[in-house]
Amino acid sequence: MKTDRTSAMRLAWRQLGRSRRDGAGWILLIALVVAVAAVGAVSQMTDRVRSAMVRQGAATLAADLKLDLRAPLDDERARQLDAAGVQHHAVTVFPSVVSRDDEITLVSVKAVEDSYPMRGTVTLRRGAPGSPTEVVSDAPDPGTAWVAQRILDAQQLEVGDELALGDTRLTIAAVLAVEPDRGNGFANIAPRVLIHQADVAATGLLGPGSRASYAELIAGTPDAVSALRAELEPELQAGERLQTPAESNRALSRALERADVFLDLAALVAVVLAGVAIALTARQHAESRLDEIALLKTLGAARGLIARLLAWQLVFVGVIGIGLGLAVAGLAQLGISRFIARAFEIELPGASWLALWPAAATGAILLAGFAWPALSQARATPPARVLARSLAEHGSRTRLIYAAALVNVIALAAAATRDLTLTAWVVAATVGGTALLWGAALLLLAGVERLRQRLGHRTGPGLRLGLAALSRRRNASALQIVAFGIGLTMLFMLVIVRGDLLAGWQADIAADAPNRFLINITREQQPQVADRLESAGLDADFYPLVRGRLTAVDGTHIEDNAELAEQAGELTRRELNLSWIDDLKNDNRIVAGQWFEESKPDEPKMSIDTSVAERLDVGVGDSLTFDITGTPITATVESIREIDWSSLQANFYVLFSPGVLDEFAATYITSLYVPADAHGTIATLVREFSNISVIDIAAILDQLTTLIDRLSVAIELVFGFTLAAGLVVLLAAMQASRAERLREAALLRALGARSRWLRQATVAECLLIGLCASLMAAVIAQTTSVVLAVWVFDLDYAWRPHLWLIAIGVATAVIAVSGLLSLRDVLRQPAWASLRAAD
Amino acid sequence: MSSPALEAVDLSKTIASGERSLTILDGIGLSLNTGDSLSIVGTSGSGKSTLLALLAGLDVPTRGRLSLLGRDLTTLDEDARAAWRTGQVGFVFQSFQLLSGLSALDNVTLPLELAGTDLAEARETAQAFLSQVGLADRVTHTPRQLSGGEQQRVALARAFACRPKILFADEPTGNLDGQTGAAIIDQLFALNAEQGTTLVLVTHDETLAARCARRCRLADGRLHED
Repeated sequence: MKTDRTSAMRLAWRQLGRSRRDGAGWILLIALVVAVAAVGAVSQMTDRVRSAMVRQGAATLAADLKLDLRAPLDDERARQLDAAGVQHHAVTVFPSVVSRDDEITLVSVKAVEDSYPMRGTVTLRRGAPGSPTEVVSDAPDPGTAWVAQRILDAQQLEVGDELALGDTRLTIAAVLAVEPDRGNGFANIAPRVLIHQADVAATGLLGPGSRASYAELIAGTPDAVSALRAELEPELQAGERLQTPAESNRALSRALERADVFLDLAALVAVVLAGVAIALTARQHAESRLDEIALLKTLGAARGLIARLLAWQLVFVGVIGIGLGLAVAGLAQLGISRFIARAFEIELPGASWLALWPAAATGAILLAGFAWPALSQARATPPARVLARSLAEHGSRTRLIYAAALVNVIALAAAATRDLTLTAWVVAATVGGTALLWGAALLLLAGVERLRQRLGHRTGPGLRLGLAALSRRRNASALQIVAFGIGLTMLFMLVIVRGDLLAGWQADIAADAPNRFLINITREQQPQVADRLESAGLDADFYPLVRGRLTAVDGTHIEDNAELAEQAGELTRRELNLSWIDDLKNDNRIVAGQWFEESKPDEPKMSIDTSVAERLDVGVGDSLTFDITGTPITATVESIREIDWSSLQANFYVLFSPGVLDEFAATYITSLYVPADAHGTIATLVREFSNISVIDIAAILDQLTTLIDRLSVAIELVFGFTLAAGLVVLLAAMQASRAERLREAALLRALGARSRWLRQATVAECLLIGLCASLMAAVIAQTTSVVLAVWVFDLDYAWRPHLWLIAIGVATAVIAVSGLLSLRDVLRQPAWASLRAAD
Repeated sequence: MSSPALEAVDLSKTIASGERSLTILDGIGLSLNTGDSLSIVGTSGSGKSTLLALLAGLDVPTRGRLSLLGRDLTTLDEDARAAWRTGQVGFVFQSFQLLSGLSALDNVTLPLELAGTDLAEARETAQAFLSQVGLADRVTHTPRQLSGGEQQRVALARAFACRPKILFADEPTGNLDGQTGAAIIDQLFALNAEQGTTLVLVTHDETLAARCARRCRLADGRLHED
């Protein structure tokens, strides 16, 4: 047995060294290199883009994690954070007033330590509005304060003046233009005073009963932070909460989530493309081994020895292919790291070869799952094949091979994305698409055969030869249409989803996206404010706002039920903004129940956001009770809405049916886009109605725009890489029929076919295959993309006929040109030489 | 008296052809003593290759019994037949059947290795046989670098390197020009005589067939001895 084993390995190795002319082996090797390189580079790129996105997102929290506390950090917790190997520092926020000459301004004081901001930057301005700003990563020095422009305006102060804050006076060192962790909720409405923690005691504002909120900002390596998060989460007390960057800024988190899913999709597409490439070449590789297997059997080799020989050959191909693929992925990774570091303006940890193991595993699984079943079947070749191929007919269990391949692709796709929904959609599209493509291919070929018979000799010899070739290679042509089709479906799908995603983002950051909120408008003031805005040409929708506290769920009082109280968490700790509107807004979508049909004030109904429904575990038909200025109001949940927070419009967790809240004093809120030349209108309005507050969210919008610009570049980069992998797969598919095409062309040439006819025949054949595959691929990809846009990305989709035309045109042209290129050798040399070479 | 080198009794082969079945060989009976040489002639499509495949144990008959070198091959499965052939049966094919990835030396070494010969010894033997067929200076060449005649000489060296007890040759000159073919045949018969190998040769070439001690003709699925 030992002799057998060593001789199988030795023989495999010897053959490998001399198999430079083994076409199928080369294609398998190239497909493997491309597969490993594509999966490696794309997964590396997605990982790195993802880390960059997380770091970018972290800037919106000024940290990687924020721990909201009820009191300053105690020693035990401090030790716990230190032990976790993260950096942390305290943030204290409390309301106060600043006054000068009887002009009182309510402010929100935030005290930070030297290391603030731990992530992101602060934008300051030292001069008058409009003067240049500077970006710093520092906290204010002790004894100084950075304050919002609104405070300077209200208090008639300038940079360099002193600000009286409680018992102390601080020098105004700069205007706080952008504070990274400001957030975009309109709860944070008071203008900010940013001071150093060292000055807090001196203000004397934090006595017993003061309304301060405490938090600890945390930063560290991703592993340390996620480990700490897992450790802290179960120990959180009432009133404590952990915030990640994504949770702190919903608009940014939507953009990040979508980008994340797209990157998953790109990695998945790379895996499927790699699978198609290996599947195509493995079959060819196995077929090229049949003669060798038959001969070895004739010379006395048993099946076991042949199995070991084939396995060793595959192992050698695998080691070389995976090694080369990893090298390419590694080089790509170096380039990608540099690009991402530049695009995101951040430093990322150095590239790790170890991180490429999933690509290596993918290569190994693809070989084991696709190439081995095909080779393993080839073992059954009878030895009599050495005498005549007709003596060696053996049934090929192709279906079994492809079923095994499919299982492998599903496993790899699920592993690559860790997203079962996305995997399910893409796999469903692949399986359904394959069936459709197969059907379409058979129909086309049947049609071609009919056309050929009907045309007879009425067409030129070129077209006739092309049609005849399609009919002659019926199974091979059908397989090629399916392979091209799957590859193209994947690529088209990525193109379309990418388009939807970018269009969706552009809509989010449209030039007229709201950049100001006006709040606290009284019912009496609302018509006047609306008139003023309209006459200034500013569009604004007003929403009434009543504040209320959630007190009971389905009649169970929250304060009597500790479990419910814990479940409700934040929702009961602060008053919620309650509102009502007649029609469902564009950025809201009903996911359960239905929108209010008619207003019946005596039958209170409400529509709640999905996050409220999930947190309280309530559905349509359940009831919630709110305490509004001492009056309990109970309403039944009529619908559950999903809100697109990225719209930056005013939105409400809880909407009552119109009329229910009429008896309560409401204020109004509006969000609107104020162009630079209309700032005067708003300033006049605020002077006239001094109770109205303006929230400027231009800075948040800037953050979002920057992030989305960078994400878009990253998406394009990942897309480009997958596209390149796809093109190689297309060429591999073309290569699969090259030998046969060459032999036929050489024979036809020997029989007197002119070069022009051969070219026409090849173009006709390739065009038909390309058109059929790309047209079907476009239909399947568009359908899948609509499903993905609606169900996975939550995006508006658009039909883009021009994209179809471009995709179909490019794909068909690539297939036809590569067909013509493969003919070049035959056309260049004498017919006898081609025939000999093809033999 | 020793048992015959090859004994076929009532060998038949029927294959399915669409919905009908087609009988290619029908009740073939044949007995061949050790050292005998037999040629089987027949027109194209008469079933010569099918018969050779059955006689060499490369395929199984639909009916009948085959005994080769005293062993009933019809009772063995494919693996057992392959193991039994190792070192005992040699082949020469019309299309040479060399492994394209291997050098001439490696091609000749291969069956020796499969028979369990030590690699160094196998290479030495292979080298000697390649020299004997006049290819001493071409041992490192791959089949693509050799002419048709040279390839067939490598195949001869491979067939005889194992010192087989019986050799099956299928149209050994079918792919060669007359002069080269004649040279190959001379070498084949010389090696055969030297090793005392039993020879079964399938051909449509009457002159070549005449060089064998016994001649049979295959027609309509039946074998007729001349």
